[in-house]
Amino acid sequence: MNDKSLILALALLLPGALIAQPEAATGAELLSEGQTARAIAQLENALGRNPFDPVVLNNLAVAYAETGDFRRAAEFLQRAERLAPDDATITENLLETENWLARMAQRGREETQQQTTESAEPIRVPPAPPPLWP
Amino acid sequence: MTRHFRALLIAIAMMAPLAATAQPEDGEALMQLVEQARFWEARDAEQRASEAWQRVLAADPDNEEALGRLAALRAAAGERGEAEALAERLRARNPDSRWLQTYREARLNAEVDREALRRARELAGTDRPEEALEAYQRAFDGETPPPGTLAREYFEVMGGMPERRAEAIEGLRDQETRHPEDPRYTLARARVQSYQAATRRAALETFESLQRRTDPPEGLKAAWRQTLLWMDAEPADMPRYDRYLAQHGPDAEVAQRRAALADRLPGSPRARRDAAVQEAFADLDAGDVDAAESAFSALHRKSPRSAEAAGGLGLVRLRQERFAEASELLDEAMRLQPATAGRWESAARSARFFENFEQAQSAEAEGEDELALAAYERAFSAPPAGLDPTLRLPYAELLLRQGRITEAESLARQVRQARPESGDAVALLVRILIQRGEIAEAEALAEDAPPEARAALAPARARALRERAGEANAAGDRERAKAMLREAIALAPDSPWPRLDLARILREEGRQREADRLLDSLARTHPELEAVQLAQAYALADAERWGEVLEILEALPTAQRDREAGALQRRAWIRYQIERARLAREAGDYALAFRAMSEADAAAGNEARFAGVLAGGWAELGDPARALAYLRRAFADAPDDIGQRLQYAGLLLEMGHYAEFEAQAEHLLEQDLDAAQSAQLEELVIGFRIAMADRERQEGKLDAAYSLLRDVVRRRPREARVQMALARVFEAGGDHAEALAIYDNLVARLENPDPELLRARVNALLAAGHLDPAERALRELETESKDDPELHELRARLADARGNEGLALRHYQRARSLRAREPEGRASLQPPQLATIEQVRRNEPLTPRPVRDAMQERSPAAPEQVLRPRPGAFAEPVAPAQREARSAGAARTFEGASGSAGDATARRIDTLRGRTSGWAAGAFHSRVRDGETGLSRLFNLEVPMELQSAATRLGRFGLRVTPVLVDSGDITGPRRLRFGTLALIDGGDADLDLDQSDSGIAVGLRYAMGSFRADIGSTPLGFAEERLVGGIRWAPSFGPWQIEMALSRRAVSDSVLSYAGTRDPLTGLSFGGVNRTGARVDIAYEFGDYGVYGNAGFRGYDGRNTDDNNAFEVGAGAYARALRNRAMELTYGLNITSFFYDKNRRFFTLGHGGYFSPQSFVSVGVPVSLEGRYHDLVWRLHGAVGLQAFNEDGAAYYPNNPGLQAQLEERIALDPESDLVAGYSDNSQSGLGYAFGAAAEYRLNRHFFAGGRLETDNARDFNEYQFAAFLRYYFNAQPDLPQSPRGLPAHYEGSGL
Repeated sequence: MNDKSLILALALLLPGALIAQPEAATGAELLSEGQTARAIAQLENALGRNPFDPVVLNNLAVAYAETGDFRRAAEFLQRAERLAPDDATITENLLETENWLARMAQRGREETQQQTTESAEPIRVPPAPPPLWP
Repeated sequence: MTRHFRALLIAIAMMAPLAATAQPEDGEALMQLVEQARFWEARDAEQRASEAWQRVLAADPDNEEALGRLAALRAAAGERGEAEALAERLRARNPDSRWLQTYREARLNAEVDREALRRARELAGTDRPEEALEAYQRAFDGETPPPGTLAREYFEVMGGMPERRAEAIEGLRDQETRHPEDPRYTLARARVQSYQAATRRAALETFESLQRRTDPPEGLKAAWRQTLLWMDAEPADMPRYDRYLAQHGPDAEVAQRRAALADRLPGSPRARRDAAVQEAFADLDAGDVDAAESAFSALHRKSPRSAEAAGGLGLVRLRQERFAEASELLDEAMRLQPATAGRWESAARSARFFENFEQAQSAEAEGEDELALAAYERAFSAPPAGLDPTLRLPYAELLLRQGRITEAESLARQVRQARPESGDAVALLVRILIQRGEIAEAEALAEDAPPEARAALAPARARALRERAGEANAAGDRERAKAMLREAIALAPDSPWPRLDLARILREEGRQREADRLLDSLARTHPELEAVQLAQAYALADAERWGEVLEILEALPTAQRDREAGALQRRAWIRYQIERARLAREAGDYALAFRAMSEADAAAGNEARFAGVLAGGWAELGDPARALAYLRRAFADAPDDIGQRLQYAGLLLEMGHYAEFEAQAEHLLEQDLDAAQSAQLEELVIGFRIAMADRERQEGKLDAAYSLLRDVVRRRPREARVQMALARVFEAGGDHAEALAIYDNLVARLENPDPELLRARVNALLAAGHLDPAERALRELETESKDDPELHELRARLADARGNEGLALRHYQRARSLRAREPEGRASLQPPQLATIEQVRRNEPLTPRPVRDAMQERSPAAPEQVLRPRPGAFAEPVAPAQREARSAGAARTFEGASGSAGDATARRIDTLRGRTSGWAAGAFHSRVRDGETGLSRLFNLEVPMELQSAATRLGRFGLRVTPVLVDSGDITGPRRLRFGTLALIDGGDADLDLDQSDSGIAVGLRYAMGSFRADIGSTPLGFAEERLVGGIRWAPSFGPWQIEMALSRRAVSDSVLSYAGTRDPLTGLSFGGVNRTGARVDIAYEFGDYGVYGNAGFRGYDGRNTDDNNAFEVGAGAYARALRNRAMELTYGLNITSFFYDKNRRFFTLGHGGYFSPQSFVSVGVPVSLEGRYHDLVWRLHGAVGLQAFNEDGAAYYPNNPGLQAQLEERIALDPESDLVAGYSDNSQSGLGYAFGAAAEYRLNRHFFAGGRLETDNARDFNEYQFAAFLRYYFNAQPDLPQSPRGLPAHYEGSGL
């Protein structure tokens, strides 16, 4: 390989290494600043360049969790855990998200059950009180 | 010619230059010149006067007046020489001329001290006549002024002093007489006369006469005008004013005076108005208020600036009790005519009093006590004269209500002193005395009081008794309080309030029904009484039935909704909303829950007394930080509110903010608490001590935990929570018997033991290994509740203890699912907060394992050290993960006091999922045993492969396939004589191939369920001898006892013959393939760091064409752990092994089995084992050294074949020289035995494990070397490392059960 082709190869390799990293980092910063939509856009760009980056997957999951989309968050975290099964943060995030989804699913089932089961005693919320005296 | 005109002419003439002036030629002209001169002199124009006199002298050089006056003017100007020359001319003309006197006066005046005179004039100008006179006298050097100008000046100053005015007038008259031609003396005298009313009219007449002169003096007009204004004139004086106005023209002030006089003329409008006023007053006096009102109203309209009209109308309003208007009108009257203000003062005072009094009563009626009090204070700060003293009673009542008893009493006593007959005063005084506890005096007073006062005594006494009962109850004397309240009810049976108080006490005592009856009876008889309704509302509020409180209050008429009722409604409304929020949250309607909570929040405002319930509400809605903030904010408003602080401390304790709780508790301990507050604080401190003891216990600091509980146990020896905390410490210390004794005692003592206690007891039973009692207790608990997560955890523990890990996992998962469904309050509404990863971490190595796993490996004996400020101090609570890590090793310690039950369950689930995971594994085993080639020598290769299912509640299943190769080598040479039946043919043909090797594949099925194991399979299929093998094993534990019972049939793998079987080349018979079938029992007892064990077994041996054999074995031993820490463990012991076979069948001729079968074997060894872990590596080194001895009997060559044996013996008999022998000789050996080995297992990741071992052994009669390696994949992640290296057993090792 002559010098020219070596330089070309490096040039092809460098952008991925240099650009993906700052964008992913910006995603985390944007999340800390509460700019979730921008963070999602940038993290998805970063993921397009490297779909096997567990850090980007984790942060993207965090971003989707911020929007309330815990199902998508769980999908990203599962991918992240497969790539980095020993990362404590990813494992914890996945566990928290799955617990939350399980809890929500359970609530949904209970609510359905409450609506369909006649014998179930629903919790009665008392009516609004009379107005406060002046 | 008018005088004015003449004066003007004179003035013009005087202006003419002296030279141009025509010489007078006759007396008239001279007279005019003289008048000119006098004119200027009367005006004190000395220069012009001098010039005029000179012109007179020019016309008439002997004119005496001119000579005298000019000499005087020169003398006054200090021109003594010229003055004296003029005086000499005058003396020459007429030595008795009166103008010489004028000159002498002027000369005397000029000799006066000018400076002293200036000072006297200054003082006179500042209206200080006495001092001015003294100064004049100093200037004159005597009390008599020199005659002339200074005398006039002196007496005028004196005229300013009323007491010397007559003297002044007299002095001025004297000077006037001396200077009849000088009007200035006359003016001075008249001016002084005008200073006093008596001589004012005389002064006016003098002014008028002076005006008529040709030379009216300077200042005349001003003096005249001032006198007119000063004068208290009568209508008769009107012409005086007219004359002035005619003389001096329009003057508004003088004209107004004149008009006022005109009004006073009979028939004038003013006179008519005064008459009307008199008439109106007469009407008022006669009591005809309407007529007076009409008259005064008309007058006031017509003459709004009339003080009489305003004042009169004010009096009318006062009579009409329209106090505010009266007060305003009377004040107006006083303002309009200040001179007559005194006339209205008394009436205005009355009006103001009653205005304030009326305001006070209105405010009181509206419940605005503070306003009322202020109005009363204003009223009684200036009471009118002759006020009815009983009017002070409502003020006193209000003061009493406000707790200002001393002031109220003082007022009541004043009223009673003024009006002894006032029943109200006596009644009030009686009530005050009762309130002060001076019952005897109150009763004495009531005896002499009117009946109404006596009637008032009963409710007053009832009220006082109620108050004293409240104090007694607060002081903890409940019985006394109840007695007083019963007395109060007897005194005032219709009053609901003592009933309410008594009901409250009864309710506290749990006598709910009695409490309800107390108020219900009154409500039935007096349903219409608002007080009864209000009391019922209070009672319902005590019972926290807020909805009903609101219903009752809504029924109250609006007029009855006083401040007290309003406060109750607000409290009930807020509490109702908080309750509603809680129910809405439970029903899953979080939006409604938050809305109701927010409304309650808004209604409560910043009021500190609601901070506690709001804090509780927010805490339940998952916002503990807000809850704490509420209480903290409440402190800012009321830092000294003990109740609030107690509540705050309670919340801190509940939320685990122990350090802050401790600070609060210490602060509270320094406060002056009442009995109830002290009791409440002690409750909290006990709770805190228990929490701290639990924490110390979880950190393994049992002594500290015990120290914390010691005082508490001493104070509350019978309290369940204290006893339970103590029991937990005993449990953690391994003293399960003591813990169980405590729990049993509590369960026996308590009528309705708390489920937590029952669960704790089950936990202790489980920890103690009392599985059957634990199961019975669990069944009892299950009757209460089936779907309690803690119950499922206990069931899981039971299943785990019984080895049914699948069932345990199922129960743990059920517990977790139930916990997820639980309305956890603080966490359930909060979605998880996920953590981002900083990109920079990409350059760091990832944590090799999840943090939780790493933590899990920590031993509880060496928890993560928390930096503590002082020994025994309470640090901030550790994070859940840390707490978990600390308690992980103490998994059998009940976590009832820990807040991380869900986390613990999750951990257990992780562990169990790991433990119950299915797996697939493969291994390589190599074994070499030295011995005779083709016979006892053995080379063995095995590659076991196994697939294990996950453990379910039905157990775990497995399939194993093991390719096996055994090789002993060729049998050559003389060894052929000891193989099969070759001895009969002297070893047979040398070309005979006697390679002793074989191979095959063993298959087997395995099953495990708790402590039960079973397997069935084949010996390697392909071996010369294939047979069925298998076994069952049950290894239960009973506390420290461990028992293992096994029945099995296994291949004996000592040699190729015993393991695979072989064929005898001479007879073609297969033989070997020995099976060992038997039973064995092992018993062990562990004392903690050491233990003992023993075993016994019996086996039968059979094989194809081999002689059957039996053996029994007995063994025993003891072990101790010399070292045990996180990293490693060293165990050593003493072991005795012995076994005894019936027959020695260790040889390889037909009928023998090729397995070591001494008739006695005894080995005494010292085994030592060191095992440990390093990161993800688990390792073990072990060895044993000892003495062994065995004894073997001799044996026939063909023990189970007498025919062949006979043939052999016959051959030997035929050829005694041959090497053949008919049997084997006996053998006894003793010597050193040893065994060494090393094993390791490494976790590659949470699913893959790899390991191996290396061993050597000279036990029994051979040397053996083993090497093995394995790789295992778990389908579920493995959070834990194994305690010691595992492997995958080879087929020759049995089933590996």
